[in-house]
Amino acid sequence: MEDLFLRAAQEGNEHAFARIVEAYEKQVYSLCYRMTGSPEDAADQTQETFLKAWRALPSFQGGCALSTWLHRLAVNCCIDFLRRESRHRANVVPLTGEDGAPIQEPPSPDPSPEQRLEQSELHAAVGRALLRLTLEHRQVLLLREQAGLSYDEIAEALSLETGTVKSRIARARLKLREEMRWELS
Amino acid sequence: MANCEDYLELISAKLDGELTAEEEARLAAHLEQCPQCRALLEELGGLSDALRTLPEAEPPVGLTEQVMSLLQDEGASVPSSSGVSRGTRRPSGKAIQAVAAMAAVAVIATVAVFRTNLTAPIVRDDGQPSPAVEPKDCVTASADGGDGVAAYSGNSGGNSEALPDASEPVSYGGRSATEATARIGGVEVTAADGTVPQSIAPYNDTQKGALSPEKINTTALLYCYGLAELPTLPNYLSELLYCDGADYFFPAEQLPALRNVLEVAGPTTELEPQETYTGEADEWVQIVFIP
Repeated sequence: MEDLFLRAAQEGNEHAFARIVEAYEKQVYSLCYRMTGSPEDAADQTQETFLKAWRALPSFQGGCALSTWLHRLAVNCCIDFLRRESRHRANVVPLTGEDGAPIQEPPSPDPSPEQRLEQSELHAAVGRALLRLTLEHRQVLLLREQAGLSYDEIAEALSLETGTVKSRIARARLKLREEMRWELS
Repeated sequence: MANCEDYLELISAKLDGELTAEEEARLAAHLEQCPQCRALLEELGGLSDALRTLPEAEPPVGLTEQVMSLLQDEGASVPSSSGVSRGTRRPSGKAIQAVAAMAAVAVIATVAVFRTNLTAPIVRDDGQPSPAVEPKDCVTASADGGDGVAAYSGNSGGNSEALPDASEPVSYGGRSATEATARIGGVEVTAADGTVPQSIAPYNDTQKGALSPEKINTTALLYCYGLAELPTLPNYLSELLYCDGADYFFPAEQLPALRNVLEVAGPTTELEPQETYTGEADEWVQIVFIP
């Protein structure tokens, strides 16, 4: 069914595209949220991602899954945005939302109470640690772990050699480990 | 250990399933002897799991609507390279959107089904060729010459062509589609006796208020995609309330009869009851033509 919506959307059918937006907005928003750390920026970049997708859709050849394509777009939108932003201000990572309250981790599904606490704390720590990585490290980790891209796919998305992607991910993981140790100390 | 640096990338790639058989073997051999690397593998594995299972964040309510309205702002001035205008199809009342969305879904489904038959001639189930239907008071409809440019196009983002004279044939605009899909051509319509159906008025912005579908009661929506040729249509077109180039609005009472005529003429029609709507239309007919 998605194939039908995709083809219709490629021909300019906005209603079909709206169905695609609905299907993927949560994933795209989550990715943008993990990249930017801010719900407002995530919302903006989600809109930007889908706008770009709308414009570029006619040239989408189906060489990869639509979700993969959208995830790439999303991460790249965020990178562009964050790079522009960092020229204007220090790359301060907001640890609180707009109202000053700490950014809430969405509740995880269903484990036992003890596990639930630990897991959500862990996720919260990982989310914060992620935001302290450099843009490039955050980008490759999210493309690999959240968007599920292979090394070759990431290499293509970022115009890098696969070997570079491999070592960048390894370094990013080490960095994340460092930040996590700091978080949990 | 000094040479554990060399194994960092292998450990990381192992987590991603990106090792060659040779690399797997080499890493396994090292891990057997190196507790630090084993610990690193476990720790990085735990982080990787945590990253992968980060809960999805809930987007704010209304994000899809915001995206779509951005598109509509954009679409009004940006034609796609294939010639399909991406302008807003009509002012977006909720009613119109609900129906259009439903109709769009059904249209997509039908287009997809027929897509595989694009090169096959229309053949009726009984094997007879499709007859031309010419009842006496028929309005003859034929597609335009073939370049897909209609005298009137309802959704070129606000370009409204002048309304045609009563003495000239009225053209219905159609959207021209990309090569990959069925072509949607314009249709020139004259009555068989040479007169022009009277109540046809191409939709344009100045008529928005007068003829918007919300104000039309018991109107069903007809989506009509004309391809190389349309069959001869009965003069229901004289009952046409308005069209905006891609959509034609008829009184609901006419549609079952229209459908019967079209079935005889060849194209398959489907009659779908409305499911969710404001209640202004009871049923609608969707027609797809195959060249």
